[in-house]
Amino acid sequence: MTQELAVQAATLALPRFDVPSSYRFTDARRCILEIVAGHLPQGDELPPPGPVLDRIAWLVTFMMDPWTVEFAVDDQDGRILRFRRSRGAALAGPRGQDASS
Amino acid sequence: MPAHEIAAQWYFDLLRAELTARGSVEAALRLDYFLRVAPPQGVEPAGTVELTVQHRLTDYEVRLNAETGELISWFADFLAKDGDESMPREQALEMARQTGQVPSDGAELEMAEYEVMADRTLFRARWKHVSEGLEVDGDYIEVLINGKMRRPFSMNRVWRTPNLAGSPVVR
Repeated sequence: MTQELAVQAATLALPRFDVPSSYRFTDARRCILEIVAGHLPQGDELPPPGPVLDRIAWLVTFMMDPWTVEFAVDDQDGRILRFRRSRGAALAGPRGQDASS
Repeated sequence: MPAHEIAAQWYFDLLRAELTARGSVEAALRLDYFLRVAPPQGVEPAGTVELTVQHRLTDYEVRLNAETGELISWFADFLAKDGDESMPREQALEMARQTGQVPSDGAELEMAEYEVMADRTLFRARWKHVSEGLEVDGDYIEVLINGKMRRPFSMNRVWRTPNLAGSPVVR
């Protein structure tokens, strides 16, 4: 998967993870990521304990100063493997107020 | 109850009573943190009971992987004090490399510098893990060295063999 496609996959996932549209793309890099087998994130919750494996993933970062969110996008199929937000990062939708509104 | 436990209880009660009488109630409550009775060696003889009391000098923390027993980190507080920059950087880096058992393949040096943190001067060396040109997310080795004592006082080692093709494993 190209960087462009990975960023596109992460951008499409923004609303699903309640990230306001005012966040802007800042960085993307490929890495080897450890994930819990069979677990896909619903939010920024910690994955349950369990057997793990590694995937090649794109870490795509968005920013709305001073907050950041990061998506790990599977390099093979574009699934979101992990989602992280910086402490206090603004939320949109039912869990928070959209900073762009 | 074994004789040494009865004696220890009596002795600690005495210490608590004395501390309380001197107005050090807080110290009395924390007595177990600072003092402990060493377990007796071998079979306890009849007659007079001898106690060996040990005093806590410092914190020493070790973390192990509960699944594999692999060493993750250690930290010895008393070795961290009164540091300076007298140890040459090259020597400190080599000591850090040996302490962290830094592998010859895949370890990329991120930093190797002296720094001041709160009231402590320390040398920090940190490596990230790179495999087949990709950074292994979350993996690193970090060693902190007291330049004056010329000794390491902290080591963190999170390092895995990437499992990209195999079945899920417990790490």
